[in-house]
Amino acid sequence: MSWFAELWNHPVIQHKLPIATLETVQMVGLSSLLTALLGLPLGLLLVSTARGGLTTNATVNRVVGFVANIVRSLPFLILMISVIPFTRLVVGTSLEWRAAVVPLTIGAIPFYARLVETAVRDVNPGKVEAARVIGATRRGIVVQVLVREALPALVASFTVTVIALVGYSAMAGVIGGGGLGALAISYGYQRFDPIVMVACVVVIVVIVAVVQAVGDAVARRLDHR
Amino acid sequence: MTTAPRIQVIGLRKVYPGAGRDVVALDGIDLSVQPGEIHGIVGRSGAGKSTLIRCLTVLERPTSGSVVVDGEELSALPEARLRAARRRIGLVFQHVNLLDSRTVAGNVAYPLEVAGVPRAARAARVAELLDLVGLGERADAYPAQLSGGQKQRVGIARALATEPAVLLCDEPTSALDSATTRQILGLIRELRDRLGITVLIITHEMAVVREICDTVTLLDHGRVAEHGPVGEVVAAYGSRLARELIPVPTLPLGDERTFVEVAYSTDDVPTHRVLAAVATLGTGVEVAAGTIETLAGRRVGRLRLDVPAADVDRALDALRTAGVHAEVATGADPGPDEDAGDEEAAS
Repeated sequence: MSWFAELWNHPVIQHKLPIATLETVQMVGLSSLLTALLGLPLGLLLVSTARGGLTTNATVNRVVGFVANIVRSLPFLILMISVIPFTRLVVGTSLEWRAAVVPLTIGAIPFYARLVETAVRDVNPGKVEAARVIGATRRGIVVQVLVREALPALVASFTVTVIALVGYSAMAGVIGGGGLGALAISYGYQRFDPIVMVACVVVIVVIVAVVQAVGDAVARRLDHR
Repeated sequence: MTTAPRIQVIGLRKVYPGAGRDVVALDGIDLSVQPGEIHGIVGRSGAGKSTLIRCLTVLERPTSGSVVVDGEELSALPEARLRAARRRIGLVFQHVNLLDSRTVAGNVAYPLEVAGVPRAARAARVAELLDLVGLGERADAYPAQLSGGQKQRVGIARALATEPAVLLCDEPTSALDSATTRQILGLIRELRDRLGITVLIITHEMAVVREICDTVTLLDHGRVAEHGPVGEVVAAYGSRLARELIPVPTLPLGDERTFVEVAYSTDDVPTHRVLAAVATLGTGVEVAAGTIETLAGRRVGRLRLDVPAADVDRALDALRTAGVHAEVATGADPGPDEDAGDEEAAS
């Protein structure tokens, strides 16, 4: 039996790898979506309330920044375990990929928010000034100037975040989150089956490569500088 | 003129609270610009030029004083009313500040979108504006594909989009080469002639004032140091503006000899009479440097004469008798700051 045939006919790879891959994609996909929806506004809030921002508010800025820093400084494994009660409250269970979405999203929001903050801060303040003179409202400036002008950088930051989530999602396997991480641990580590291990690694590398390629292509299309 | 000024600033003060000591950026500025006039504001860095333009658009609230543009007092308007009022002001920036994510047409359309102009009317107006600034063909280009001069044309089109009564230009040509500067200044003058718009240009380049300004104000340490129509200002020979607008070619630094500086306008004395008067001073007197220029319809000459020390008083008398302005200047052309005391004595 050739090496490839051995891989192909491996019962775990035939039956469990596709399911685990789907779980990882779902886990990462849903938590990425939630991260974008919540992390972007949070990042914009950080920029807007900062000194020299559109609605300077030192208190809000400090509190939000402090919370973001705490979440970011926790190792993901510890964060994941410590939010289990909250996960049960939201999802009803702490197992399966759906449950893993909760800690993944909580961990990724401040990560992405900080990247958003940096990207938006790079928008030339002269553009904001021009929009103010034109008579644009604050909301208009945030959407049409800050977000629109930073969009290529926001997409690039989002790509980085999604890839980080792929990494975290493997860790979620440790506490029963399912996906490729769980498969690699139970077969590759606990049963010492190198073939399953290699297969998991290959699939994860492919996922990351695809995410990076798509992210780069989108960012390039949006960038007219 | 009896018409109401289009821009009227009275007693404008702007103080930035600092640690320990407040910084007074503008210290009681009075300014008035008539409709259709091109007014230049000059001054060195730190004189308060940028603060002034930020107060005129109320990007910064004045500490006290009043700013009236096109009949409306802006300094006290609440933010919401200010947004509408700003549509009557077009602002052109040194670094243009176009949105890189929008095409040329998109950038010009932006103020119209903000003003709530319907799509069809917007497209027509954008086409008209781009033709006005000579960029009709580049509507679909992105700013990154344009030259510096083209970008500034887009900036001007954007500033004019909402048909403002006043066009404020903050160092509009400082980032451009001299040929492009002339084109942009030519465009601004043409727009004034065609649209009757009132223009206020902030600049540190005297060339801008010489090219297109009707009136000029010199700011110094947050105050108005000199102001008036360009033609009158250059005829006030001892004034700092006259010296900067029509500078005598500089002499080598460190030359400590006595020079007599002569200034005249051909309205009073034709050049040949001035030269004849110089000739009567004798062979010891040499013209070391000189310039004759025509500005705001007035031809003004300035000469620097190398005069033997013993003959200075006689030379001054002879030149003044001939009807020209004459005074002693020492060494190389002093900067306007250093001779601020002298000029009061001279005038």
